[in-house]
Amino acid sequence: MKKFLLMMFFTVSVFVFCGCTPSDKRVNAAVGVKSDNVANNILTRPFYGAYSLLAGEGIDIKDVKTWRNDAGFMELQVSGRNRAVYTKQFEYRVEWLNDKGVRIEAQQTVWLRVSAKAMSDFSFTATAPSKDAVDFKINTRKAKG
Amino acid sequence: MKKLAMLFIATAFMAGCEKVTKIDTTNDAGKQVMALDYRDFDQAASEMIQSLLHSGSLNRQDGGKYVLTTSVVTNDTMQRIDTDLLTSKIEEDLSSSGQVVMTSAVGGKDSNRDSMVNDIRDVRDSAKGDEFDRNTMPNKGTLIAPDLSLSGKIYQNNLRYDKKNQQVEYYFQLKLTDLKTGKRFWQKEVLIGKRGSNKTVAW
Repeated sequence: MKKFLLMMFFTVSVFVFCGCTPSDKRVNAAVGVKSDNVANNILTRPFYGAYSLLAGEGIDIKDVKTWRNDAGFMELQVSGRNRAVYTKQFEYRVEWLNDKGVRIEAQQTVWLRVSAKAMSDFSFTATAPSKDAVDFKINTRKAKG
Repeated sequence: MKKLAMLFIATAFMAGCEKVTKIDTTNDAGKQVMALDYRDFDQAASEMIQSLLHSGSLNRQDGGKYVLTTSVVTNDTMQRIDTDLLTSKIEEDLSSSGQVVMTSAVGGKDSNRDSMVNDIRDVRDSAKGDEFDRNTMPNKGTLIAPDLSLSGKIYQNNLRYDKKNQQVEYYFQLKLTDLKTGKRFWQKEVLIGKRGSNKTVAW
């Protein structure tokens, strides 16, 4: 029994350390392409998946960048990471606000879909409908269908 | 006879009580349908508008506004679609953006033109024109020709996914052309794909 536990500990340790190998964050090697770690190994994946589900892992927003393009329209990029072990689809809607904090009415203000791959970074961009836009609000919801 | 009349009234009353709900078009979380619905047009138009404003193609160097017309957007799907469902949203936001002015003098469809632009000129040149104050009539050579034209098509591709399911792909393609030079300033394709039972009809 002791030997079995020791073997298990060793195996898990190897996966953990393999998964922690430092690499360029700009390149995401997907499951099945990169070396196995705890999250995607055939033995440990069900447990990790169950943990991920129980813990309710999902989307983390890491960064929001804004700038003005050459025509003077405000643009934004939202970057984040899907920590779940399955692809997450969600919808977002950007509402642009003028300098008085009033919402700018536009046909382009609709729910748009993003698909974030399991345990991968994602990003989406948006362009304001008017040069009057100085701020924004973003709502999200689970994608259906 | 009385019973029949009562039955008729009861049926009519029941039919009147069938539940009808208004669609919450702002936060609609309803099921997807195989055919194109308003959400698909919303998505395609939104992505087109944002791409156009991002591209800078409408940014006139002298600070002025381009005059834009909508040419022909072909419906190459199996559905009866009014392509204005796509283009009117784009026209609205582009006008509101302050980058362009739309023209109703020329256009690819009747709905893009205002027939009164020509009618008032016909009146001016006819005997009826004498009935009007000449100073209120449009002079010759006052119409402004469009600088840019928006054209494109919506294309549908039906595929068999497996025995029970089909895949329907809808391609929204738009192009922006400079009418003086013929140069294409911008173009974009938005793909909306749907998979569902063969029993559902996509037209």
